[in-house]
Amino acid sequence: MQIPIQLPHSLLSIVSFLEFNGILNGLILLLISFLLIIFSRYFKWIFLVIFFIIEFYLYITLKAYFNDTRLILIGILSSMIFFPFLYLSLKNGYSITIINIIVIGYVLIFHNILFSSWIIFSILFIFLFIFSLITFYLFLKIKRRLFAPRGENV
Amino acid sequence: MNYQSILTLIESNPGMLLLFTIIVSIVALEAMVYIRSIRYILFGILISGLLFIALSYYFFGFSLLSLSPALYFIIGTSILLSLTFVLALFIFILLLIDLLLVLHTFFLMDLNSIYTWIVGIILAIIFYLILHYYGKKLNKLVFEIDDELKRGATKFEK
Repeated sequence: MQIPIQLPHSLLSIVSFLEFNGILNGLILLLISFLLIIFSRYFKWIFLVIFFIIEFYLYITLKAYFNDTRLILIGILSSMIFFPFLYLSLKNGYSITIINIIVIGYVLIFHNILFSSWIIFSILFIFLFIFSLITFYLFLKIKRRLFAPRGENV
Repeated sequence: MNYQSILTLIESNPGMLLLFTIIVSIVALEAMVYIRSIRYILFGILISGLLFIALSYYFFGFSLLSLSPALYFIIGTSILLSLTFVLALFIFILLLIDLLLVLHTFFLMDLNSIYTWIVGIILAIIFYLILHYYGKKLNKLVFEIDDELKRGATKFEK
C-alpha cells in the first residue's frame, strides 16, 4: 500500500513548510485557534477524530516501511496508550496551548520583520505575546456573544 | 565572566534587564500552566515506552543483552518525571534572581544587605503567587465559559 499524502516528517521540514507561506499559514493557525475556542465543548470528539487520523497515518507509514505484522502491532498499540495522557495534558493546558498557537500564528505572519535581528525579535516577541493574550480574550468575547441565549445581556 | 562583571554589564544595560524580566515572567507563566501537562506527557511516554518494550520482548524474544536501552529509557523518563516536581522551585529561584537584579539596578539596593534579600524573597513570593493563580484561572477559562453558557441556556429554556 502506498502513502497517500506526503506530510513533512522532520521538525526542520515542518518549519520550512510553515515558513514558505508564512502569512497564509499564520492566518490558518489563528482560524484554528478561533475554532478551538468556539467548539471547546466538542474537544473530546475533535480529539477522537484526530486520534483516528493519526493512527491511520501511522498504520499506513508502518505498513509501507515494514512487512512484519508484529512490528506494526507494537507501534500501533504503544502509540494508542499514549493518547489518553495526551488528551489529559491538552485538556489541562487548553487555554495556554491556544495562546501558544496564536503566538505561533503571529510569529509566522510577521516572520520577515521578526527575524531581522535578535533585539527586534526579543522586543517584538513580547508585544506579540501580549497581543495574542488580547486576541485570546477577544475570541472568548466573540464566543460569549455567539452562544449567549437571546435577550440576555452579556 | 565572573559575578562582578555580569553585574556591571546589567547595570550599564537596564533595558536588557527589563527585557529579561518580561521574558522570565512569560516563561514562568507558561511553565506554571504546563507543569501538570508535562507530568501527564512524561507519564504517557513512560507507559507507552514500557508497553513497547514489553511487546517487543514478547514478540521477538527476551535477552539480557538487549535490556540496556530499555533500562536507560526507564531511568531517563523517571528522572525527568521527578524533575518536574522541582520545576516550581526552579521557577521561584529564577524569579528571585530577576527581582534581586531589578532591586539592585533600579532601586540601588545593596545585594550584600539582608534587607534586600528579605524584600526580594517577599516580592518573589507575591509575584509567584500572582502568576500561579493567573495561570490556574487562565487554564480553566475556556471550559468555565462553556459551563456558564450551558447553565445560562438551561435557565433560559426553563
